[in-house]
Amino acid sequence: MEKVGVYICTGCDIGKLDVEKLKAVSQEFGIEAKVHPFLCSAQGIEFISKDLANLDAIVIAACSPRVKASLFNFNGKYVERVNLREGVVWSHEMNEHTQELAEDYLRIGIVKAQKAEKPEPYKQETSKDILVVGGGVSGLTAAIEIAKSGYKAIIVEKEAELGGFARKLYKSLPTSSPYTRLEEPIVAKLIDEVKKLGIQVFTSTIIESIQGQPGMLEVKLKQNGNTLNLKVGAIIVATGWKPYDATKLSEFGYGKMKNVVTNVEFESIAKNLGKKDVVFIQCAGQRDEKHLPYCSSVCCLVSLKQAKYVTSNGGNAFIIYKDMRTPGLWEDFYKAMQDDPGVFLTKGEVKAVKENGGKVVVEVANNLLGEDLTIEADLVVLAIGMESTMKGLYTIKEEFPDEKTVPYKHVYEPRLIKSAEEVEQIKQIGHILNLAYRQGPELPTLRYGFPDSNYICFPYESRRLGIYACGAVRAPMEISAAMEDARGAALKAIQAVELVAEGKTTFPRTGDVDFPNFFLQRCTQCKRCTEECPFGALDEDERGTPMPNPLRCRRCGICFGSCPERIISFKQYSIDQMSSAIKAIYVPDPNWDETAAEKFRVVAFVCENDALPALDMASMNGVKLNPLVRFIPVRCLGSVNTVFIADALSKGIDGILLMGCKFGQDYQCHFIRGSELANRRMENVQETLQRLMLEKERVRVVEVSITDWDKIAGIVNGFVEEIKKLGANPYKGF
Amino acid sequence: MIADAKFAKEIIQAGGKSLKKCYQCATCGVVCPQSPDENPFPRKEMIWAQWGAKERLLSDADVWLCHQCNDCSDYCPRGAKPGEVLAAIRAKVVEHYTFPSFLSKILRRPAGILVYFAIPIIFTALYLAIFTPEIPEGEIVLGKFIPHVHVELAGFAVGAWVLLVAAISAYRFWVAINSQVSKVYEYEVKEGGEIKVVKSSARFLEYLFWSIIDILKHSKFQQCNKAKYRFYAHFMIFWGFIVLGIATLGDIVYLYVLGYHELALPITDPVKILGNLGALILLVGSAWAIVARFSDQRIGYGTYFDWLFLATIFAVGVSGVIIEVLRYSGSVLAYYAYLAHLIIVFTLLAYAPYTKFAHLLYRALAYVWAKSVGRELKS
Repeated sequence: MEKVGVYICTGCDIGKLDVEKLKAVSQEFGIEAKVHPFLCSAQGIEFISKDLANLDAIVIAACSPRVKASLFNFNGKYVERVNLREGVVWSHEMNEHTQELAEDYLRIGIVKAQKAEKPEPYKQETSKDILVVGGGVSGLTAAIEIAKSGYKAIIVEKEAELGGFARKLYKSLPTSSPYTRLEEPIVAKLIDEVKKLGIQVFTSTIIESIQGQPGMLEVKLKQNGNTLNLKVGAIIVATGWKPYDATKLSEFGYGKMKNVVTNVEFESIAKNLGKKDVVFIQCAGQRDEKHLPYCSSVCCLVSLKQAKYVTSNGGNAFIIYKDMRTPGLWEDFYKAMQDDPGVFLTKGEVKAVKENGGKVVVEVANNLLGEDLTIEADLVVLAIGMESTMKGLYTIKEEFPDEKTVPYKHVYEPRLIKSAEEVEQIKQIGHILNLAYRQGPELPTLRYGFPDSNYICFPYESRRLGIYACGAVRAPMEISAAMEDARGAALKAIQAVELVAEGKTTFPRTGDVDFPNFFLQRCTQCKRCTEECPFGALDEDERGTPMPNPLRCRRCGICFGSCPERIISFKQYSIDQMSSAIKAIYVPDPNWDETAAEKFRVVAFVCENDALPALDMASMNGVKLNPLVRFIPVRCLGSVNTVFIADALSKGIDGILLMGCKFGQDYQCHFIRGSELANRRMENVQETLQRLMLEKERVRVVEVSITDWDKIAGIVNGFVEEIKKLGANPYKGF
Repeated sequence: MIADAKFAKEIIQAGGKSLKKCYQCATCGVVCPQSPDENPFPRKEMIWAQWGAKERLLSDADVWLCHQCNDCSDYCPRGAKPGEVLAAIRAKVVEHYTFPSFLSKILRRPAGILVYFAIPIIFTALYLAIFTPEIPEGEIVLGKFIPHVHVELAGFAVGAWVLLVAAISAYRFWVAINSQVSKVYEYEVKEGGEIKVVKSSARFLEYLFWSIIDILKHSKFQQCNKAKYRFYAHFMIFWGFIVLGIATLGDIVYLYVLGYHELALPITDPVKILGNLGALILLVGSAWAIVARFSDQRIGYGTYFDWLFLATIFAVGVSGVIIEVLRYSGSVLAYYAYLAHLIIVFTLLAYAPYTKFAHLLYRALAYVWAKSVGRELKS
């Protein structure tokens, strides 16, 4: 941008700096900086606004970019925030070094503003229709919500009838006060409503393929051998769950004794049960490393419900649990069932299930009664768990690494495969979405086969933009939770189709119009970008050249960080911009400047999601940092291209610190593996350092979580001390 | 241990209505002033009862160490009323060990009240039919209506029956409670390091003696917090009976040592004074117990098993006083009151092994057991 205005605020202690010197820095760029004592006041905003007609970009040297973002928004004009408050005056002792820090930040800000370009929205012919995959409770609810909001919903169901698993239930859990009465399953009502709303339904239909990007997803359906083509804007995956394979539970006699059934099977027996004594074994094959390691969260409630089937027929229900888990208001249902004289509850471990005449005998150890317990009953019901319908399918390549690939640490259960035939065999199991995406045909999974991206920060989001998972496919849950989940996903899908229709991005940085640009003439088809993109945004042509799908992009910049040719850039977050910013740092030259030996320079690339807020918090908590460090926020540590490191070192920067999120299985990276990739790349960088005869300790990656503000000083100041011990970068002044 | 759903439901029917509410937090065992620290009650009894662990409960002497202070019920966060549940378990224990147990089973139910009165009424009717006593003229002298010797003989017959049944019950119960615990052995080290082992339960008589002292002093009952009144009320009822017993002995002395022919004693007679004092203590104690039982919904109002016994004691006292008042007022109604009194006294004594009266036997044995296995709470 050519016309850049610089505004310096002197409020909030910033006035302690030598403002005249800062103005002089601005003069270096030929810009007359304007100073105001209170920029975020109405007068301050007016002070800037009156110049807007002559400006393309505005540099605001005041507080952290994390505050007052909506105030310093000037009709979408490029705004570069120079963090003098949290970043300089609040977190440093005032001295000559701190003044130089402020001057460097201003230089970086002005350069970034000058190098920024104006992005254009990605306007295309889009569809606002939403495809709902799965006609169970979740899918039906999502479709109903979508239709009621005035959008077109289309349901695809594999089975011949709608209703999913809920249709097989005899009764369902109480959903209203006093939470003690069982209810008729709601699914019939939902099916009626879908019919009433005239929602288009394809039963006995599977998805043959899906390609494209949000707003322009081309879906091929297959119904009775006929292929149907649809164009939809977004997709909701509500394919639900499947019961755990009980034949693996022979320790409880399943498959060996006819009187041992699963809780799923019991639902169909329930109607004609008669007077029977029934033992319920909770957590059968759950919370067990040999089977399902997790809690399915609903089985306790299901068994209580089924106990009510038993006692209302005059029988007795014996429930053996690990822990009763009846969250929320279902505690009331649990209490009511505890009071039922026919319900017997104890914690315990089932030691043996035996047959005795027509009866089953269950032996329970480690129970609350103080000694082993023997129960004689007519039937044993195993409370088996829920698995995602996605489990066991071939999802994406990184979850099925071959022997040559370095597996990602964030993949919870990598399933190593050896040959192409083996891949084909796994693919034969079947598919749900059949995405024609380069990285794989299904949604990536987070853990235990459940598809999800960062669950805490982004519920509903999958790692494929415009595709939202809801209900039991995403996490074990019961009917009312699945319905609530479906509503959330419906809202997300509607938001997506509306945003892409305007050429805007969906998530995160929602509403942004800045998409990555590829200068493909210089592409060497190394495939790093297509492999490393955590969101599968890039497809490939037959030569291996990336084919961007801008609307599938989350704009983390991992591709931009990965590209050795540096041909991927955003208009407002580009290689040139970042390199120039690094070069704008003033490094005293020992040939000319006597004080240079004392003036070490360290650059820290900080993740703007976690490390930057932690820095701001440290500053607000009065933590003092070494003024020799220049913090440069990046979208993700994965967007740090190795060229930045090379640029910095060749300029004479003494040390480089990369502060990103925790990675691995409990990763906190918003972009799944940005910090993991940064770490991997730095291993390569360190080899380069050794070739340059530079100490490898000059570059370090650290994991910082958002709550780590109290550790910041130790990390940063400690690093500076170590660099001082190594001495100055010998390339200074070259 | 075997889960017995039927037995659990029987306990609920016997008055442990709130049993299922227990969620095993063990607050009860912590607050109980009667429970030892090791293997405390009533938490374990609560879950045994929930699961119908019949053989455990029937051989569990701990339920008899409970005096239903109701501290547990007062502190119970779930309103499970362990005090009431343990009372119901005790009723089931009495039912199980008495001979013949069907009689206890009948008397435990409200409908059993018919049998409760039918038997003495039939006996009385038979007596009246056989001996055809006539209501005498003039001064009211009960002995002229029904000779004292008849009453005494009937008393001996009932007493013999009660003692027989009590002995059978006591034996069964003692065997059962001792089958479950490992014995505590006391040992003394002699010179030269030789250890002499004394099987603790061998000192039965010694423990029995101290148990009787505990009972006379109500030293366990005294430790109750929530139902402190029960200590006083029970103490009065208990000592009321003893004073009345002493007065009866005085009557025997009058009849057979001093050669009195009649017992229509004047109100100033020392034996009569003693008798009236006993009756007064008994009446006040039982009335207090009745009124206080209604005081707290949180701890419960007791079971039918309790009420039958309490009401009978109260009725014995009231009918006795009515006879006396009628006698001194010269009303012939005194004879009818006397018949009624005899019937009520019969229900109290003859059914003692089947009703809550049996607690005297079971609890006394539990005291002995607690001392012998080292389970007695040291205060």
